[in-house]
Amino acid sequence: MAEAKDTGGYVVGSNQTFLDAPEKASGSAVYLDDLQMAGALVGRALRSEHVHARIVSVDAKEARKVDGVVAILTGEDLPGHPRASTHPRAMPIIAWDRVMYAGDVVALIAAETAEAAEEAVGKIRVKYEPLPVVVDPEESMAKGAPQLWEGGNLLNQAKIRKGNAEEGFRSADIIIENEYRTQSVDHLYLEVESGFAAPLPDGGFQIWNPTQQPFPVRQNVARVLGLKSDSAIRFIQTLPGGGFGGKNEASIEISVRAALLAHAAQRPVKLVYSREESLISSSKRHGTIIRSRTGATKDGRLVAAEVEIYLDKGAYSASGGDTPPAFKRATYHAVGPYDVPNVHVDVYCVHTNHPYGGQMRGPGVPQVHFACEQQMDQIAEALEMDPIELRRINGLKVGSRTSANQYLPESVGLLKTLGKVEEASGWLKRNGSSRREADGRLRGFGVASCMYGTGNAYSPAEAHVHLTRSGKIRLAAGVVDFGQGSKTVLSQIAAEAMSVPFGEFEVGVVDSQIDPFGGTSSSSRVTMQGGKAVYLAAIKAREELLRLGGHLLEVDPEDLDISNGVVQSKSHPETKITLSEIAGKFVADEMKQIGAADHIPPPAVMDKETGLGEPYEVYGFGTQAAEVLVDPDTGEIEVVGVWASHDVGKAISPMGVHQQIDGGVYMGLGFCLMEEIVQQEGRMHNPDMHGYLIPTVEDIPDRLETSIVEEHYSNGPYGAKGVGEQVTCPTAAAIANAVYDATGVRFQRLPLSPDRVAMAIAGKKN
Amino acid sequence: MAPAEKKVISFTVNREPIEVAVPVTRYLVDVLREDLSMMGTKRACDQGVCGTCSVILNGKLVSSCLTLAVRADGAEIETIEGMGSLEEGLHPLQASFASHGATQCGYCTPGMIISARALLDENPDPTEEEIKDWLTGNLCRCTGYQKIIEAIRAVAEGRTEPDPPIEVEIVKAYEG
Repeated sequence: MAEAKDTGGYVVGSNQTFLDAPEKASGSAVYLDDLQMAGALVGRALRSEHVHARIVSVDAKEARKVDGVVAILTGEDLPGHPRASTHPRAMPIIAWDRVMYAGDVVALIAAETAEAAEEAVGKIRVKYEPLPVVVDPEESMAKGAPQLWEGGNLLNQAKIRKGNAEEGFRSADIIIENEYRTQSVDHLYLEVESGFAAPLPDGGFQIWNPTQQPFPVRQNVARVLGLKSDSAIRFIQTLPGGGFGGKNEASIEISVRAALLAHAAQRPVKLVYSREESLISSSKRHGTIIRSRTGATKDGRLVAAEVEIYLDKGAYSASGGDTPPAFKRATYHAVGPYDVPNVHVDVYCVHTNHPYGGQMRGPGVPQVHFACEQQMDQIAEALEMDPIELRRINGLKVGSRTSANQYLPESVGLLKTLGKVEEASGWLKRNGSSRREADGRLRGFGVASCMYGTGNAYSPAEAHVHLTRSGKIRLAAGVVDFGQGSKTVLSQIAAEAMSVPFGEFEVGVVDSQIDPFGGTSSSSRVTMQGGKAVYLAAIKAREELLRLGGHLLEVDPEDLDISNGVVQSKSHPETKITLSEIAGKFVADEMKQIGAADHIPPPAVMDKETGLGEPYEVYGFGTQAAEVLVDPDTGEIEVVGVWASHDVGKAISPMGVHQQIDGGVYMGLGFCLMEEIVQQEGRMHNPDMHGYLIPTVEDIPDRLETSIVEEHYSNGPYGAKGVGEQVTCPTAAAIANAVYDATGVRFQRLPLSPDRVAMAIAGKKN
Repeated sequence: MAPAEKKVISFTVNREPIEVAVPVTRYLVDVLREDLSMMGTKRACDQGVCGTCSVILNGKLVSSCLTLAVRADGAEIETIEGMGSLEEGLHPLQASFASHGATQCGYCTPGMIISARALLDENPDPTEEEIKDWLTGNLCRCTGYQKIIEAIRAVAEGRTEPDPPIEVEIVKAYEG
């Protein structure tokens, strides 16, 4: 375990080595596929041969004869045809009458060996009757489009009506109008989806999963297996080898499938997807079509914004049911972090025969920022105004109102992030640098800002603080640390609140027998919403330590204080007792709960007619500038520098915040330059890591300078908001703006792959 | 399906002699993980693209998902488990990765550290550019590589702690 660093007992705002980092660096950290269990079977799935087809018959007779096969499940074997959630359009656990995308599971197999399971997969005969395919969300809404769902292909639509957009446009001196398209991308976590389930003697099951949402996994396994309560399932989290939003829905599907096989075989089953299955079947960042019209006056004031967005929902509904996070967030971030008096937004979330759109780092928000931040760049150019100055004039600040007309009373650090990036990047001196390199490459600079609704409305979290038998503090917050460092950050919050050294803290993985409901690790909510529950529980734990200490010392707790983990009398400092002495007396079992609390964030108050209200309790803000070199012949873009500044409220762990910015910029760079699920009529052309490119170490900028702005938020622990998602939202727009600056070509479609860039530059020359 | 022909092979892993009968079609990563229960070596792409399964074989960095186990007959193999452990102390590269925040989800970390080890064995004082050239075969999806490069440079300079320390601000009271 990490040594506590000398911070005088105060650890919020200090850099602590992440609690699980030594374990991870040693190679001893346990991920799901590292679990081995005697008698465990190997699970495999048979996937659809078609993108959209009626299932005529499934014949598993020959497959059942394969030596070593223990259980085969087809859609007909599952009474009630369960889905991954209770939403009527959720993915079927096993398709029975129809497949709606290439990732649908048609049968599940459990066998003694991988070889036997794979042989059985090959011997299942499925007869299909192909159906017409639709892959474009706008076409899917048109009359005559293949109908994927009874009731229509539109899952949901949303709007914002603020002020009067048409009047606003009439008062504009310039209007910029464009269409943008963003592609479908994969999380590409290095650890593929994986699940483990074992039957327990009492009829229940033990489930292991590297999920971002432990309790929904448990709940849905219990529901599908028809168990009378969730507590028939013991859930133990394994370390996620990356998540980025993808290990929400996917972890439910795979856990349910593993549990069904374990139930059928009455033996433990490990189910691990191949990389190809992972890419074909898992959720994706929603592809979008975005039409933007933005009006401004000559002095640079935004007067109206009109945005129409189509989100490619893919075949199934997922997290959020009718209101997926990407759908809600696309709506409320569509005009960016600006004060715009007249706003008209329409958003359509539409089914197609693609993989389902799910949560991916900042769901919906990198897409809409790619559009709105290029709109800003074009307004600045048309008005011959500095793009940072334009953002400063219109940027949200304390007292502003958002596109939802939400009043912002505090914690709005956008202008500070603009100032930091302007200074760090030498923005005003940029035009003095050479614009054409000796090798013919063109240099350009671009900037983009962002906002991000932090956390989820009405998203409760509970936290427990335990004293262990050896006198350590064990937090149980029910939220998953998937690498972002939440174990460490939550421990820092509790250490600060309790005046107990950080080195006394232990945190395990989420275990449903120990952890309370903490909510999901998503929406940049863990530090702010989970952390608030931890803070409140730690305050109670501190009081409990004083009570227990007072009991042993025979001193009124009012006269006691805690300093550096020692309970001490204020009037007689020689009277004191350590946590391990308290534990020795009072902790009979492995640990004793000494503090518990919950935190219930405010609900979203929304007007259904206008879409106005308070969709999120608070927002994160950021600005990124990029410097690029573009080879006009090959179309290759080198991002040579990125300067990023983000307002996180309070950086509980500055190192952790810098890590998140590094990773967010990296992912934004991949989204901008190379990542793309290439599909034709619903068939994926690049379902492997040769074909699906992510940035390597050679692709990252030589200069990446990150800075933190802290505009405290009164309802966050120690003023903290969140960081994980906003950091990837402006990157693609900043790079696209820089490429325009270098080449004079505006790219409205992602990714900016070399072929596309070279062709566009060549087209401009002609 | 006829089972593949088996062959008895012997090699050392982290200096410990091993003898194991393996199907000739079996890859080294599976022998390490499934047969020897050495789970530090990960797998992620099964194509030799991502580097999570990296091991050092006779002094050379290889992808164990592309290396047939029979090719390791007689070889000396080093894995992450041989570098250091929580119990017996971490190797400087392991300690440096931890203290620099060069590991987030941690899944690429063993392969990344083994790869860095092979680099430092060959070139004890690599420049940032040389580190980047070397690590192109190791993918990381979380960190953006910055802190990985810093962690390796630190070890080349004989440190395991960040220098200069990352900006720190201490709050003394809860103001919210």
